[in-house]
Amino acid sequence: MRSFEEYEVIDTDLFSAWDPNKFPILETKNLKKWFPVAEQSLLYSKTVNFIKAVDGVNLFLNKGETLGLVGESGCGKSTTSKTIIKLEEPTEGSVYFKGIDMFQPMTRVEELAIKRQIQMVFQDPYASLNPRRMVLDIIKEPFDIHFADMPYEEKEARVLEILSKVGLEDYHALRYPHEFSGGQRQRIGIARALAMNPEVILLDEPVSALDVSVQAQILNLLHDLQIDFKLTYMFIAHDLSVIKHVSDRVAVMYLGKIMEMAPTGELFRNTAHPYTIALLSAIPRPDPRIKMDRIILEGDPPSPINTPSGCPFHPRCWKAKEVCSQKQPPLEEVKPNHYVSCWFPEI
Amino acid sequence: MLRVAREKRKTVFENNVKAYMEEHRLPPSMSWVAKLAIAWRHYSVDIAVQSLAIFTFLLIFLSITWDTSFARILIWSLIVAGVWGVVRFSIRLYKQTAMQKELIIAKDGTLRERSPSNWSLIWRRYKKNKVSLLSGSVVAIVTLIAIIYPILLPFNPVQQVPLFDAWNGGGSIARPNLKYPAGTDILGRDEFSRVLAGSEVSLTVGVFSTVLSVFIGVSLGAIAGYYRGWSEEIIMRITDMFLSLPFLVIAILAVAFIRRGRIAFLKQIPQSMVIILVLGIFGWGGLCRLVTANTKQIYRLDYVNAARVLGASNRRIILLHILPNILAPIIVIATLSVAGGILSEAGLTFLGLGSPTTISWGQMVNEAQTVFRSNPELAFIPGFAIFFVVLAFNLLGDALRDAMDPRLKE
Repeated sequence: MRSFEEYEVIDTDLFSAWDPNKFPILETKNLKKWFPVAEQSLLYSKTVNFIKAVDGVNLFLNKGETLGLVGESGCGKSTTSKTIIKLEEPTEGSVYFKGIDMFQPMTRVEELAIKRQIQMVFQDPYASLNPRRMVLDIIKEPFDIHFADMPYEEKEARVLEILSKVGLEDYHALRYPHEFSGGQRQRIGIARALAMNPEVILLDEPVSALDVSVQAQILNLLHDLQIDFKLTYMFIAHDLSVIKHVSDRVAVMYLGKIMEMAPTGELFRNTAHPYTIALLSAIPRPDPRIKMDRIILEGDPPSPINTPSGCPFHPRCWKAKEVCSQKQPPLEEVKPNHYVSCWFPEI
Repeated sequence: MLRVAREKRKTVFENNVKAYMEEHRLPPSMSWVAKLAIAWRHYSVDIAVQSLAIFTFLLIFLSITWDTSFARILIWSLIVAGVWGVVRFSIRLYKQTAMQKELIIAKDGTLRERSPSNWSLIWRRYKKNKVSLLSGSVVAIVTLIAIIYPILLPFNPVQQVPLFDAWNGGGSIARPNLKYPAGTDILGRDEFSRVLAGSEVSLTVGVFSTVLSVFIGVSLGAIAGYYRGWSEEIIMRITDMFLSLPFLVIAILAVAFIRRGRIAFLKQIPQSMVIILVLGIFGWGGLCRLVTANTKQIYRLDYVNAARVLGASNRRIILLHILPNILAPIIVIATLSVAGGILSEAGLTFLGLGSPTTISWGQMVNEAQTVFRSNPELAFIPGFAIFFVVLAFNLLGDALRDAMDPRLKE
């Protein structure tokens, strides 16, 4: 079997300016995604407002690490990942992959070269596999797109190899998605993302649709694959215990903004942002003797259409002062590698 | 697409099956020549006996009433018996290969049942329903007749029969009799032959107008649903326009202008072709709407997103991911549209827009009006032909809908 590089049609100059020791592999700068809310009438439609799903996100991923992105439902985690991977066009800001702006105009060859290196695993394993295609065709598709001149036997051999790596059998290749359980389907989705040997995989709540026992299997599989393939993960979840288990660094998101970003141990021990403190106090303890001092936040999270001025958390924050409602706090490095977006962080 | 199909056939799994068969001393796969040789060995006696039986039958019953030669009957009986033998052998072969196909071999050597594909599941559900089997076979038989009717015709459908006959008379408006099973029409042509020959025009108009409208409707609908924005807006407004055009008026105008206009070369276009074009060009509106709505629904799903993340081109996503998943409603609408095409053709020719030189059921009903009181069967026989074929197509459409969308029934 020939090596992968022989099929690469692109010159590697594209990423030559990038130095893995100095710069993160993936970086977003002031990323915004606003969805227009249109007022429809018979003849015209007028944009009256915006849903600010992602509102100025600054993130970075270092090579080889797992960044956990956590936040409540509707805070823009999934939209962030979809914008990073070019499924959505950003309203403002940009995404840099290995120093290259992903949204600059580029040729199809360059675009495919980037797509080979950054992949995604989707949340719902029941919707992410085409019901009309055999598993063989599903996993073979990236080879068909990227290496059209690869002989068929080789494509098939590679598919079988990937299948065995994600813990599936040969004969599964000839089956259709509807015959698999949720966990097996998620394995197929992971196999499809792995096919092109990517460097970064965005995991958009990969286990939240699965049973708890299956969740553990998939998490272990992801961990083994990360070691085998030297992968970089961005792991999106709303389950704090899962995040604590898998990630090296954690970013907490609220209403389309990053509130706090720190290494996992640091974030769970020296929590700085009031929202993160409230969030962490909600983790259930599996021991009745431990007294839980939960912080109950007042009210609901504000609508992403009419976001509060200044800090988005100030209407529910017990430490809010006047400045919080006037100016948006920047995401600042309060300690080495510990970023907080708050006027009065607890340090 | 052809390359994909060719690739699929030579899988590693087939090699596995071959190895398994050698190991267990199963007979190796055969070439088509070898299969035909076996078929001959198995069925040569059958074919001889059957052809003899059919020959005797035809000799006794038909040579009395039909003016046919001995040699012709012999050849026909041989052909019929041979076809029957080949059909029986193909059924046996099909069952054998179907059994082989359902087994695949895992790495550890154990045999596992291969899962049914989506289409075989649809076929299983379709088989259960008796109405659908009946309507399907009626459609199949009518289609077969429309293709091979020239060899079935007892008489030339455009030639007048002899005026007098030893048994049953002849000439024009003869009653149904043994020689002319449906009688003769006002110009003295055999009605039964004309009904057989008329199936060609009906089926051609129905099928080809549907092909045309499905092509237009599906391509425009997929474009509108996939790209959305201003292209959807434009296509949907054009669709609205086409949906609100009065079809009958346009069809009458088109036939009048093209067939009876002043431009010589347009006059050459056959009348059924004009009807096909009118039906196809003005009949795609509903299908386009359906395809647009379904495409938009599929577009949101994660497997389309996954294909985009992998770098699939728009063409690839539409052809491989979206269209296969909206094929079921398209097939159902297409089947119903064939029935609609047949009805429209009959209606237009009945209104006098047909040409007297084309044999068509609607035209025959139209011509039978003048003698309706004395010979109503001349109108009823082609009328019932229209009725049963349209009914069969409609029932087939319903049956396909039930088979392809199990949620409707359960």
